[in-house]
Amino acid sequence: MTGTARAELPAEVDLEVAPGLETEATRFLYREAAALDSGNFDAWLAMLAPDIQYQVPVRSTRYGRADEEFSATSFHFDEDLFSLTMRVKRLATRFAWAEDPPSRNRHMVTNVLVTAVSATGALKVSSNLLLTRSRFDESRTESLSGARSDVLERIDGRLRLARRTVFLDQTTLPVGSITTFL
Amino acid sequence: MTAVEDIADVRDGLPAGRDTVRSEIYSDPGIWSRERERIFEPGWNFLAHESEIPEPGDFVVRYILEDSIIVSRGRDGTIRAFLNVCRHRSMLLCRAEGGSARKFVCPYHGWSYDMDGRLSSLPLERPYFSTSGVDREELSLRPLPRLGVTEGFVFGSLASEGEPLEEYLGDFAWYLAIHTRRDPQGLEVLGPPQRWIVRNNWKIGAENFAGDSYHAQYTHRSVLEIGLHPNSPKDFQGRGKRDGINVLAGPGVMRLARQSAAERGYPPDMVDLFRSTLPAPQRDLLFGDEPRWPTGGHLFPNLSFLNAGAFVAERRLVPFLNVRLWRPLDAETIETWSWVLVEKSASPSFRRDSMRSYVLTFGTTGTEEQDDVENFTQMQRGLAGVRAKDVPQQLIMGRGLREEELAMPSFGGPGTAVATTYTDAGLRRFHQLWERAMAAPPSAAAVARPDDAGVPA
Ligand code: FES
Ligand SMILES: [Fe+2]
Repeated sequence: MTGTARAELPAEVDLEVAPGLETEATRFLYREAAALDSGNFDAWLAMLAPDIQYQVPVRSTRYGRADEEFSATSFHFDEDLFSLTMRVKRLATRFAWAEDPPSRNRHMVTNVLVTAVSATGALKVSSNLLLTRSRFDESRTESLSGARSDVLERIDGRLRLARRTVFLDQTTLPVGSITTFL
Repeated sequence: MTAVEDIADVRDGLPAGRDTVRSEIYSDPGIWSRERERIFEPGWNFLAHESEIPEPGDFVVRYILEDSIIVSRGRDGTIRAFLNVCRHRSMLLCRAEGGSARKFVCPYHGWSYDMDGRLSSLPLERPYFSTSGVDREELSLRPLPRLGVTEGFVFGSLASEGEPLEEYLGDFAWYLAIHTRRDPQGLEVLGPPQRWIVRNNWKIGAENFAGDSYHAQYTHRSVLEIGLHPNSPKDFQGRGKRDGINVLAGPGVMRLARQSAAERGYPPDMVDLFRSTLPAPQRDLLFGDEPRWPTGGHLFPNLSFLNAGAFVAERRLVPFLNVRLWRPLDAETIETWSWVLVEKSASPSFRRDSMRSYVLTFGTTGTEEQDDVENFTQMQRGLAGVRAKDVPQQLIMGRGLREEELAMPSFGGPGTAVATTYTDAGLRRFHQLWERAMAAPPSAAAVARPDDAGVPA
């Protein structure tokens, strides 16, 4: 069982270029969150690179290093563009009961840092995520939190999400299901 | 007894031929406290798969009710289970969910225990506790009263007396073997289980897997519409090809598809392996003139099985094997534990695809399980009211079918085979087991068996 949480912690980046890139990356992540929270999943799919790898590994409490807590084989999400597209297609049917009536899902994205820049202009970005979900007339709000590690690639001059790993804080998820994307 | 009589028997499985169940049993605190005492405390509770702790020193922490239990593999390779409670002042000894260790040290005062549970040292032992030292045996970790391992599945019980695990499993073991004995090396887990909290009574999930094939055509209509499976919505109508066989076996239920392993998505090399590895009786049933393959089932009280699949790429069907535990936290809340298992001989790409197929459809994010959870939790809300509890549960599906159509006299496995999965026979069997266990005197540590004397005829 290995994970990469520790390896994904922010590395030193060129502070000269970082502020502008961080603004660009932050705007991308905010637009993504807005697409998800408004249920505009087709717009969300359009923000993904064709070869996206999207993973949320299962975490379990271990003594010692946090990076040993994430499984390399067991996942909450282990997706590519095909499976993400199928999930979005499902939400568009009239039979996706877990989102009809729609939940009020809200992605709060903070602590955005560009941690590396490739020669092709791809950005390695870390951020924090707080997802809340409210449903029906229930006053209780469910929430999940975690750290994201993303790679944003430039395709035709626009940033696209090419890789995402979400390192959840919870090992036992305090939610009945995850009906949106993290 | 003929198969037809068998079915009649099952139909009358609930006392006095009832096919309704009281709705208060899903939230009533008195029922819940009786379930603890009559079902979960004395019964066999699933703890772990042995592949989670393959090496000496490996351990996982599991639960029966609120008892935290260390399941570890000792230096001698033997699997043991201990209460996860320091013998000094009852601090929770191990605070990780699993890993590998040489010893457990209690953070409060520093007592330490080896992986066999023995107290190995305590600070200031001499002379402050005794000039001759304390009694190590006396102060070793308390073993779980009973532990049973069968086919790689580790079960435990909080009661020291009771039926041995094999006796309890009865005919269900034959169907468990379909899963565990199709690879010469057996099964292994694909990493740690998903764990998550769902706000419904434990029986609602259990019932769904014990016998609710009916729901798939509507609850899961979204995944049928988008074509995530080879099945289309019309396969679920009438005697569509998705209609399988429901087998009531010992304290459980197993459903079989009228489909081959290949049709269920297993690649040719794995199909060949299964055919050449399974014991003859199981092989004859699955690989006969009319192929069969298990799709899922349930072992009373709260362990469910699912051998399903989904497309992980355009028209590329990949199966997965999922085992899940509906751990009750209180009358209205469960913690679901869900493992994906794979044949040990499976290729790296099959393993990866199998996990992908599972997460796409089941578990915390599954496109099918999302809607199951929606329905389970809203059923719990529906049951909350005082008058709502007067509205009984209808387990009436399949009552009107002609018995001769349902009888499967030449079915090749133990238990009672019913020739359709569109029946509440599995739910009625679940409630038969439940009512018998709940009626058992508290001193009878064994959970009632379905096949002994006293089955209402
Ligand atoms: S409570 Fe564990 S050493 Fe004291
Ligand atoms: Fe379902």
